Amino acid sequence: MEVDERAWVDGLRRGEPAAFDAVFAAYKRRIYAYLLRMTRRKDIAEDLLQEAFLRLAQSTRRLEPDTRLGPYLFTVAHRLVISWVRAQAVRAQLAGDLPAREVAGGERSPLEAVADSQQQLALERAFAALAPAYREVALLVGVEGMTPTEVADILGHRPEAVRQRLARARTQLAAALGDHAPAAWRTP
Amino acid sequence: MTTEEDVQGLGELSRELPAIDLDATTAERIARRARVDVGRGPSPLRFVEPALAALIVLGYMVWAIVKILEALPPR
Repeated sequence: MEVDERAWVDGLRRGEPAAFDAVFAAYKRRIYAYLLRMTRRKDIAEDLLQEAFLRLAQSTRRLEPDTRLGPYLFTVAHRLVISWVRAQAVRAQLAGDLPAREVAGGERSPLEAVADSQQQLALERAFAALAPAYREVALLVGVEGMTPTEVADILGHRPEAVRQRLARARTQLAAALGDHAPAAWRTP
Repeated sequence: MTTEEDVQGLGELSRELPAIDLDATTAERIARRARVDVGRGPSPLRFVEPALAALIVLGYMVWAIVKILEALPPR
């Protein structure tokens, strides 16, 4: 664990708002990007981000001195996404099996709106087209640089299951990206 | 293909993804809201609903046991 992170955890355990501010500044962008790419809704991503940091704020006294804040926050964020997905499914059923709200045709999603080039747009769309379980693993490994074992801890799965999801995500991304896929993924 | 190649390829792709960040106003609003709760623990109000539900269930069980005992023939 890095020195800063240990000091932040100590500060949080003492209930210091300054430590919370430092953690928020360090992690807000990463957690928000993960939430936005998982929910594809800016308003929901913001709500879940607030909820994730509220949970951290409310559990500072119970943190262990060796808590790793990144995995901790991503675990909370993952659980919030799961709850949101379940609530969406129930809501869709109650509404007569209508599909969950998606971005209307022609309207750009918040993710597509930040893409600067056609390549970034294609990439965002390829990630968005992945099933949530594959997208999540691809984001945590690819964007966050976590190992399959670390991701398995966050998701509460076996590392082997994470590796399988990773392989499926790679297959689907390679198919969606065609010539833009990483060279090692392209079949000769 | 190996997991290492999957990881390496994903890392390569992810570097091409556009950067995403919160706008400053929203970030400040969220931080301000959460900061208030630092070190406080969750609100005790969250225990009210489960406690009420437990009381109702317990009351119903006691009532049911009393009714069963009443229905039993006297010894």
